[in-house]
Amino acid sequence: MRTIRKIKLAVLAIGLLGTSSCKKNFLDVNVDPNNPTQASVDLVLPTALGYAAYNLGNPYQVLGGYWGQVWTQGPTGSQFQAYDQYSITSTNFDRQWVSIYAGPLNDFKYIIDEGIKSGKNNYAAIGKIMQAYLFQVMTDLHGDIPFSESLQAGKGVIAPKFDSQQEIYDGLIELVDEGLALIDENSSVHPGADDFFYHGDMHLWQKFANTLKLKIYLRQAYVRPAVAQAGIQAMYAAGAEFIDQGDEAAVPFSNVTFNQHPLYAHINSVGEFNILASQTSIGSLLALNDPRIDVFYRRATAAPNTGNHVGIVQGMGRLLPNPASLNDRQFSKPGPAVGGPGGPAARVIFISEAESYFLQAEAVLRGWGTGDAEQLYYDGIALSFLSWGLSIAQFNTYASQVVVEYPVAGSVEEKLRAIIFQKWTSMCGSQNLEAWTEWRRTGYPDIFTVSASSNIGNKFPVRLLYPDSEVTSNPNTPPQKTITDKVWWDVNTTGQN
Amino acid sequence: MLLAQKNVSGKVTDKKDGAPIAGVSVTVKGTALVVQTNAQGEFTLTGIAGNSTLIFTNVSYKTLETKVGTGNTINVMLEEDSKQLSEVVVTANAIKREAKSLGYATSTISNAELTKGKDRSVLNSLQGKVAGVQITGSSGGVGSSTRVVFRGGTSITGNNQALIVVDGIPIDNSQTDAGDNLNNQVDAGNRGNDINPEDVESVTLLKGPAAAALYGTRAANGAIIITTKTGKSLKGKKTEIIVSSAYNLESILKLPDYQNEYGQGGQGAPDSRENFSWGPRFDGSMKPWGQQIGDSQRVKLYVGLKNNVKEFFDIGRTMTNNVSFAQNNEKNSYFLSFNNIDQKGIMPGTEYRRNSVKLSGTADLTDKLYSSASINYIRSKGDLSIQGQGNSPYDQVLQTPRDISLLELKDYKNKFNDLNGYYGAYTVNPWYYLGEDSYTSVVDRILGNVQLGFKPVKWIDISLRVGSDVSNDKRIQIESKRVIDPNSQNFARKFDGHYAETGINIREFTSDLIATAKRDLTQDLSLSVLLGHNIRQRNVDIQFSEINSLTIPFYYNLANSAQPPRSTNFNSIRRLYGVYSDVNLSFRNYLFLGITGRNDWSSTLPKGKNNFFYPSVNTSFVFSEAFRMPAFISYGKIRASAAQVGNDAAPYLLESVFITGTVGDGQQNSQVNFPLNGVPGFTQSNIIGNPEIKPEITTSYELGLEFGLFNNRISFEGTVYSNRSKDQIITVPIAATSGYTTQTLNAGLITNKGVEILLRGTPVRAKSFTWDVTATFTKNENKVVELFPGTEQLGLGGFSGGTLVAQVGQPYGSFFGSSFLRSPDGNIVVDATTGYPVIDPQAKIHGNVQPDFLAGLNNSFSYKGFSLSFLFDARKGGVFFSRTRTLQEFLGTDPRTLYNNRQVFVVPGSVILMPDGKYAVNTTPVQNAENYWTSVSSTTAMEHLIDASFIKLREASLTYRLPASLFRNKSIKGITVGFSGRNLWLWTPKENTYSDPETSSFGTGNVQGYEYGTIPSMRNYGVNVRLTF
Repeated sequence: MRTIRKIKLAVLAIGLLGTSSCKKNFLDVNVDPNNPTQASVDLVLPTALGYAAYNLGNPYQVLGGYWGQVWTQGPTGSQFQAYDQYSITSTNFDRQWVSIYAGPLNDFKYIIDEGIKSGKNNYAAIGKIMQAYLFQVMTDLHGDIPFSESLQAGKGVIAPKFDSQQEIYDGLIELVDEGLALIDENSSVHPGADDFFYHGDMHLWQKFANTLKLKIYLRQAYVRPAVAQAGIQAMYAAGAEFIDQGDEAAVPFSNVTFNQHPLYAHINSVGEFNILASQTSIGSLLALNDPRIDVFYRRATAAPNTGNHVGIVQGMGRLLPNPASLNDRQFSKPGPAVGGPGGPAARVIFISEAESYFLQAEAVLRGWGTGDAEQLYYDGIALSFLSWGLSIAQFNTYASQVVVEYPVAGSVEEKLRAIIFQKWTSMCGSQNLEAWTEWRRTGYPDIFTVSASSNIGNKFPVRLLYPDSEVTSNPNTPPQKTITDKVWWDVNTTGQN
Repeated sequence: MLLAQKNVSGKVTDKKDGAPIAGVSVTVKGTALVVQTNAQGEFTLTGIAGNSTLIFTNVSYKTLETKVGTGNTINVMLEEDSKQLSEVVVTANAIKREAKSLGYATSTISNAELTKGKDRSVLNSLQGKVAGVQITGSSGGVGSSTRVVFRGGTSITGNNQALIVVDGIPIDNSQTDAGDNLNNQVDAGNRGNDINPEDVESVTLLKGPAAAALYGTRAANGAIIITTKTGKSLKGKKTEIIVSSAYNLESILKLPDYQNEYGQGGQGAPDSRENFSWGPRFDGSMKPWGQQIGDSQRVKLYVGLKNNVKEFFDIGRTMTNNVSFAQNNEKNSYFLSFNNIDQKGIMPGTEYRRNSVKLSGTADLTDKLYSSASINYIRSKGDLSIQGQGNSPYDQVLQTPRDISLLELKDYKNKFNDLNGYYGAYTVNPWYYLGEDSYTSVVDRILGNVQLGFKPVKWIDISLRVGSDVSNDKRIQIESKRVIDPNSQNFARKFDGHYAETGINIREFTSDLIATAKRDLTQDLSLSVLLGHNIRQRNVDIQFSEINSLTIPFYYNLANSAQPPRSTNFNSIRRLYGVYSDVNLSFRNYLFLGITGRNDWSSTLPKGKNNFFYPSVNTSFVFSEAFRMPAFISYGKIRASAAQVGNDAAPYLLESVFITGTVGDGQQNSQVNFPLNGVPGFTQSNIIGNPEIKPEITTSYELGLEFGLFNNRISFEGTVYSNRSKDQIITVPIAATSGYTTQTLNAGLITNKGVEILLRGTPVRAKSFTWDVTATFTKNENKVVELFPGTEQLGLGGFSGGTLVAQVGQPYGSFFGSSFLRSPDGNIVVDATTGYPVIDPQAKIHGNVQPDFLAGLNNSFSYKGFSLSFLFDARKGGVFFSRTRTLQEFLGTDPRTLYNNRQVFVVPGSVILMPDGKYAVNTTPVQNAENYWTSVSSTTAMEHLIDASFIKLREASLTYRLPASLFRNKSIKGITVGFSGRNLWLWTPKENTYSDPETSSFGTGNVQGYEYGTIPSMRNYGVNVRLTF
């Protein structure tokens, strides 16, 4: 008995001992084999740029297209009817808010932190510059947003406070300046193919940053003209260079499934019958004999409008008489070059050459920059023609028309009207959000008509609401706005808005 | 004088049916002489004293003593000892315990009860027979899944299903579905349904942590302990061969009610392309229908077809065959079985086939060393159908106008029914989907275990049991390319095609080293101590490849695309080891005390903080044996227990990771996936890792009473319990502006309190006729007490407008969304101009999925060789969202849309809100009756929550066992024939004209309560025969 008891205890003891020693590595299997915990910055930069391009090129493009009156809802669909009805709620654009904050903004932060940590300053520079770009997009849409306390879940900040738009605009300038300071054109450590804009050419990033800075200052031209003036004058004094011919900042797409232009992919999936041409834009282009109309739009393919450019009065689509006789092929649609049907390989533009010139023209016009505003105006239009594959000859024909001429003898306001009108025209279909934002700021072009299906009466919408996901998860969200509440910099009362 | 000696022989038979009983020990009282009865029940004793008393004993029968008497022949009849049959319960780790010593609630179901309904699934076969558990089969699709939840479940976002254990080894019970549960969903079943019920000797249900503490982390939700047959089950008989077959038919149990007054069209006008039934009233005239192809067009009578949906479905049929060979010798036993199931489903073209082979053996190698081994190979193939929204045939069937015959559309190659010529511009011919699209799942699975045991002395037993469960599931999904003429009215239905292959490989490995010692300490006190060591590992490997456009139609190969295939893989491994101990004291065999403790180390928790300990204690007092009881009380026991169980985390939650970039706008196929422009891209995952995760802890208290009256003619088992599950590991949404959208943390507290009652009685017990009644009652109150600081609500799933949430203060599973705005009196508020109901801008809680109570009632009658039984299963309370109802309103097929003959009407009881804040009676009718149903009512999800109560005739069977006298001296020992059926009849409250409340689009998942176009549930009925050799 005793012997057996001893053996039994020994067996158990050995068993347990064996347990503790050879088990230390047995449990060490909790490293996720499906997803890496580290990624180098060159793997994150393309995703950050790609996600930003998706949101800019599809959901925000459509919003800007409808509210900037280049597109309107077709009679046989209802996908974007709410945009024309001006009945946007806090559920709309919730997805994009989440996608941008938890996506590219957070990824650019990673690129900044990891870039500085691993000595890749050029990456960190791009991170800061692009953060400024995206934060400006978000604040221009939503007003006050989390900025200084945002993106810090790692430090336990899961309910960041909302900063005022004024504070954010100051912060944007700081971000761009920090980015510019980090740029090292002589370093061999810079992106390559992972940089969709410039393939690592840091001189071009410098130009991009300066153009962005110019845009940020000019946005404040009415609300804080002194700040804008000082900032812009300092830039010119330091000899800042801006985006020039060939320096367009864009993300390309191709005809590979799931690599296609975001708007094209949406249209291909949902149907072509929702986004049709708005008469506001079509009428304007036809009146000015603008050959770019065949780039921005594709002609109608069904009777009685076959072969012509026909738009629908903004918001009239579903109110047209005799609906049974209507179909989407009777109207113009976005052209392939801007990601419309047949355009999977179009590009999403962040800042265009024409835009850069129009910004400079305005800066000079206001007396804050140096140069020739009239020349910059014409150069802007010419670059727009060239970037869409049209010729200088076509530009000359267009620009020689009286209605296109720069009003040399006119007032500052009339000159501004011309510049912004041409900017709006050049952005048709490809930079709709910026075009609409500039209309909010300046009131130009002043040819918009309140949507025929407006649910809010004779008013234009001028912002988005705080999204549901933020309202329910962040107690610091300010009280909800309405879409007719103007954002901080939107103080101008000349022009239409 | 010498006492006369003589030889005595005789026969022992079963009192109930006169069958001979082998293996009965016949002992001469007061001597060491004992013999066994042979296969014919006969025995012979030589040279015994003439005044001897003989004792007849057998474990299944009541012991009988009788004097030898004057002759040389003694024939006796033994009575079955029913109490004895259930006295031994198989508990955790396949440890057999005496039922009376258990301090917690268990239920045991024998093979005979389990296989009465001839269902292919062990889990389905338990429905209605046990208190304290909710078992739901999710749809009528072949091979579909079954969900088992004890006592309301313990986890907010984790697993709530019971653990399934076969012969001491936990097995995989996972379910991997295609689609997102609402769109293009395929229910390919759960692995727990693979086990063949004919192979099962008994099933014990351990309902909560107390019973399952020894199982460790996965036992917080209880455990289903399955013991399969071995040769030892023969109990004395030497060899037994059983052949059984069943043939069952299946038909739909419940289809929605339809209106048959208006046909295809909109706003009262005909439209031959429509899926709407908002057209003109039926007039019986001959009218053209469908498209004009060339210069011809079909014509038909313009009448409602009451059965067009019913005709679409086939009568399903299932053929089941089972053969088993078993042998029991003194030292070893052998068991071999073959099982084959061949099922053709009610959805045309779907089928499910399962074959299984099982072999097990036991051997007492020496008097100290014993061993056993078992291996089971199961192969199943399912040819399944998509359900829910999307490319699902059933969705197209539901969208058929009242006057269109589905059988007319069957020939989808006919020019009037093909892709270009099909009548419907908004749907696809469902026969096309059934003919050209498919989803198959082929599963190869092996379960096995080996055990080696050593008894150095009689009272010590050391055994090592090692088992493994390996399954490989190959899925292939085909969605054909639809090329449609751009000028056709059906052009929008074009589709590039989709082909996907998935390989799912799951491996579970378990090992248990257990040492037990049992000893009588004194005459009254005995002690048993168990020490155990457990290792567990689970691997999941999934590979998935797909192409999203086909170059050559109808050629299904990953190379057949202009784009390269998209491939992903997923691997996960988790490991755990634990030590545990179970100490049991028993005093005079009527007072028992048990204490367990277990400590686990898990790979999924942070290093250095990855172990956790949890104890339990239980006691049971069989007061009927301790005290003198009045004669009518034959058995009485009171029991109580308190237990804790921990639960570890899912793998890989501790660190934040990067994932491949993919961004979209929510529409199907409009996303951008990386690599983009040939450049790979990764993004930070939106879930922030938590390196501080702790295990979840469930604490449960239980109190129970069991008693038997009148010699156990009436018996009662009742339990009350209270469970608390805290430190739930949940992923909670956080503000996206923090850079992440979800965070995993320990938070939340769920409580479950309830009562379970089982009442059994034998109202009539006559010589050849008995009537047994069993009733069960289960009531569980579940409450979400806490989520995490600052949050009152956590979304669990569903869709925008009808989300299922966990809401603090409510039971788990509340529907959250906006309904019609109502005045404080409950009247619908309408817009004064349009007459349409106003939508409440404030989203609210509108109902809960949890039932108020569940109940079952079984009546069994036996008369000579006949036995008849029927089992009713009922549920009261809880609601479910019926997509069928919203779809019927939208399409105009719901009889309710006939209201006021489809003329404009005032919404009944409606009021308008006056500027002064008061409500006035509304007199404005809705602007348009059709628009009310299609745009206002059917789009407000929260108006379509239906009472989920039901009563079902869950099982009925009539069997006849041919008299034993027919089989004397034949090789066949018995034949039983019978009819049986399951889910034969359904009652639902008047408002539920739509579907069986048990159907669910989420299978075994936590988000229940959504009927989103699931294939209707079925009734089945058939004949069966069983031959015993």
